[in-house]
Amino acid sequence: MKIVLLNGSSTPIYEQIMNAIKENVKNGTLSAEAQLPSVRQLSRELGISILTVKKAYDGLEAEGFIVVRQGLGTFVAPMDPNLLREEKQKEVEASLTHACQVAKTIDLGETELVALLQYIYEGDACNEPN
Amino acid sequence: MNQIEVAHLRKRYPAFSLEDVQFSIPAGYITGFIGKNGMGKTTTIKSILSLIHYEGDIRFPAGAAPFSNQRIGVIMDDSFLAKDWNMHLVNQAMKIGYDNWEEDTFFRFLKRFRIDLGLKVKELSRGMKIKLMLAVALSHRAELLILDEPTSGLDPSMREEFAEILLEFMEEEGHTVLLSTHITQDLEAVADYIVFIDRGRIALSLEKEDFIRYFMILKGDGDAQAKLPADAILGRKSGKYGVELLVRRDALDAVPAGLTEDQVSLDRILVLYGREMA
Amino acid sequence: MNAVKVVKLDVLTVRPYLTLKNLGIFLGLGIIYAVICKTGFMMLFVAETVALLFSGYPFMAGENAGIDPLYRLFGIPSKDVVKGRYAVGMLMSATMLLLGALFYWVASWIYPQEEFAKTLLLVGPSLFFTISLIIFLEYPFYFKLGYLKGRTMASIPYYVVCVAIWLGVGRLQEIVRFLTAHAVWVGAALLTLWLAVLYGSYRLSLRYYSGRDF
Repeated sequence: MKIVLLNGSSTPIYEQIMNAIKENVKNGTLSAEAQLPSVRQLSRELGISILTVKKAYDGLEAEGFIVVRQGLGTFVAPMDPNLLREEKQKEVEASLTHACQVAKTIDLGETELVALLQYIYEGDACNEPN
Repeated sequence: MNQIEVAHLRKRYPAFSLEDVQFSIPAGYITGFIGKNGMGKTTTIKSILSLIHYEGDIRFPAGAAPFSNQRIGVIMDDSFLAKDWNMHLVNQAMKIGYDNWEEDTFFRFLKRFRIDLGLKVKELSRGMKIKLMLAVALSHRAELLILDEPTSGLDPSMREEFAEILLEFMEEEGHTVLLSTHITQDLEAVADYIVFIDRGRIALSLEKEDFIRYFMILKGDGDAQAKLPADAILGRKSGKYGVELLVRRDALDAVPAGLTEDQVSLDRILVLYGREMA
Repeated sequence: MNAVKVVKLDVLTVRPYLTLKNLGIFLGLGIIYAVICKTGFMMLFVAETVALLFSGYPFMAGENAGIDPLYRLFGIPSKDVVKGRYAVGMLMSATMLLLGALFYWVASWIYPQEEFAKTLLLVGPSLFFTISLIIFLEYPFYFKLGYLKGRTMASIPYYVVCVAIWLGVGRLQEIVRFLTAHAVWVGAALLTLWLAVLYGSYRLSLRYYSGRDF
């Protein structure tokens, strides 16, 4: 598992932790049912307060990414394919929104944008595994 | 569950008093006790440790009953260790004094801190002395650490190491730390709660993130502060070309024109709180 | 149990001061006296004077080391600190007396002494009695004021006893005759006095000590 926290970032630390763990789940570093470090262990490893880690874990639990089993520990939730797909879809939406915003600043029309998207979708860059 | 509950604590000195100090330290977390020098941090800590007599009530609800100082690991400005003792004598003394003294742990810490066993207490630098006290505090199975200004006099890498050791201690469920300091960078990362003391009174006591969010720092035109409600301003620093204001976030709906919000840090809160407020 | 901790820790605090150099000075002084007076008898006095000096050391060393707050950090109640400190004072007095007696005994091989045992048995306990009384009178000052501030005040009992002895020396014959005539009564009276002073001193020390802030 890899977690990189940036102090200068405008994203709060607990959110950075949430994103990092999600990323690890999405890219397969953390598989379903894998055990996560305890709140206190992670707090020690990352050098940040216990409550911050707790907040991140609570958030992940609420979103269904992890489950807490009393007395056993914290585990990556059994993967719901829909949940993963939903998450990915959110990412796509975010990227496209950004693209649209940039497009509007230079008056790039809808048709042109769609054409561009189609071109990229079929292009080599898009079909290479990243 | 609270590890420490302080209620109506009062202590009078000719030049300074603690007035009705009230706060709790939750068990299982690191609480930062902040305030400028001379605001009552050490007096409060000495009261908790029964080193001085006081009026009021101090309880340890989460601790083993009856709670005794044996359960507390302490770092204070004075080392409490005879200056002529070498590390072996320190070990012997602590073995006599602490019922749960763990010799092996102590020597392991000394080795980790690279403190030579033949050195006498008076031959240690300030930083080394702090490390020695930390080694003592962590070697008698204390459930609570009370650290008074432990990091003043430590260089940045030692302060980082210090924070690491604290979090190591916190890995054990039910361990609690109360850390007083005026060097607030130490707390930004590791503290869970903040208790803020000012002129002998508790000014604010909250979870760290809520504590920081409680405040707002506004910078800009000196004239623009007239647009703020008077009771919103908690401190200010006026300069020739502008003003920096510490403001209660809940006291205003929007940032008035002429002022810009800047990032809040514990450090800025300490510097600005009560300044130019007379 | 806590008082035993205090005794051990007090001894540990004073230990760095118990150097070979100090032992050398003590022995040297004894030898010089012995050669001049052709008896080791004086060594008993030297030993107890040293004991008296040392009885203040736990306060001095403790003050330098911050031992009083340390005792509170160990959770040791004030009354046990006071008890322990008195025990240390008595222990020092007794140990030094033994050392003095040992020296006196060795010296008696070189300078044979008439009635060696009788002298030792009479002078030893009297010295212990006197020195411990002085210690009892000193300690409340130390407990109230600490070593540095208490030292001047604490030396008063010593001078009072010195003057008393000096006044008594002139009438030594009379006093000895009186004492031997009423040995039992005098013994009982002195023991009562000793116990009364000890108790009063302890109560006073405790009141002063538990009221202090560190």
